[in-house]
Amino acid sequence: MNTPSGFDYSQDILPLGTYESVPVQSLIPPYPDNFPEVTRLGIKIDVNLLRQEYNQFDKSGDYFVSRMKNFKNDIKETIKLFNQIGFSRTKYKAFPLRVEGTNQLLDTVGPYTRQLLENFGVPLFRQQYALAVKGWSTKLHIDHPDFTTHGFRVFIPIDTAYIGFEKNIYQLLAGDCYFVNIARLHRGFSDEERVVIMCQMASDKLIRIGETLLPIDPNMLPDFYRHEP
Amino acid sequence: MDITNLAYTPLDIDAIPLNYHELDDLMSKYSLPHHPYPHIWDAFAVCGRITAFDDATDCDKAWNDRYILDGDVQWNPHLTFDLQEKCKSMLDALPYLKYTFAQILSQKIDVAPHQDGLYDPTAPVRAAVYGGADGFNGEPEPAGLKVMLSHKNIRSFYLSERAGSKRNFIKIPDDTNSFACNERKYYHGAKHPGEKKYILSTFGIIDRTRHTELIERSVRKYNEYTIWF
Repeated sequence: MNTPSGFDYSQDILPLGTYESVPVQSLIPPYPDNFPEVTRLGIKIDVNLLRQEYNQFDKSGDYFVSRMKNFKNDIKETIKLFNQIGFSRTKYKAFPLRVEGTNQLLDTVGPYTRQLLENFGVPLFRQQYALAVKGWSTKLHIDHPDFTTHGFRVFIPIDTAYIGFEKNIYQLLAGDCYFVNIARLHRGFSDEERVVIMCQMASDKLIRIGETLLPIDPNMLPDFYRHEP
Repeated sequence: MDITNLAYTPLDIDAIPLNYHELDDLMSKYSLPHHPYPHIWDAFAVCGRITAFDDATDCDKAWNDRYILDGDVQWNPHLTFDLQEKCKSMLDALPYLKYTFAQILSQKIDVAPHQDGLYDPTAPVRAAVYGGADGFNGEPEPAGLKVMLSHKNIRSFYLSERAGSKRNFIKIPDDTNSFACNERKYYHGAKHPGEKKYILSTFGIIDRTRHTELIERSVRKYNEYTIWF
């Protein structure tokens, strides 16, 4: 499953390996084809409060530097791979919401965000803000080939987010929480600065009772969004 | 009878034939792009708590309020008397205490397999109406009650146990047009038949007793057509 550039899509590209993960439970066999591309989890949120707390959050730390000692692969190779896909550090930044090495939230996490993440209905881990700058666009990639180690990715958009798969594009409106199947080929893009809360669910429960999101009409998007770079 | 894993059954309700050309004419003149998926379906609201039948968002509101008992259901003024009477007969035959919304859908493209939300914003209302013991369910399944208004012998509508598993296309016997399916537990989608296909999608408060009696009678009668997972 290698691309011309040599990237092997069948591999787990998340640099942290099992670090900061918790045991994952799945009633449905935890393979990507058993789950939809995007599911709306039915949890409504107050975007204004989330944004307010994001604005107040201390973003001076460096996620990459603080975690790189725990990277499972060579740091230079990891940076090269991420740059190749489109996750360069100038265009995409993460600000952890958890105490390093745990899934416990930092004391500095705002009260509304804390209440949301601590009462989500299933255990969460690797909670973080993810900031994509205007013009960010990745190549198609998978993050990991199954859900056993890294759980099920949650997007909580503070700004409306888009995610593309091989055929479909989805609009993730702020105000809802979503499961995004990053074990399938997907890509991210944004023509405005975009902030989302990302984390991993340790259970597929909310996906099983959620509503599958249907794709949008790509023609409603600017050309920038429609294709892999 | 244990119908926990029943995905689909035709319903033992006599078919009411409609004139396809009359229906097609109505839809061509008065259907609206579906809200919020205008590229997937055209929709014609047959009845509901709607004041502006020419406003897709007003029709969508009626869908959101489908579990609210209060208020009179209005009929779309564009329906001919004959068509309205036939739609009334179809809805009266379904096991509702009160139907609150019905729409004719015509798909424009393949409808991707999807699962409707068990835990969605209407869940608290449903739980209050049905007394759901687990706090978010309560509506008797299979709760998707529909009438295939055209193309009933075409392989189009299907159900799958999981997102990517085998597609089981429904078959509808000659003597009925109505069917029930479990859209929350199982994935469902529809291949575009290449022509304008029309389906009446109905919503309301289900009468448990009538529903159980009808489903069990229908499963016995149409056993060879049923789909179980």
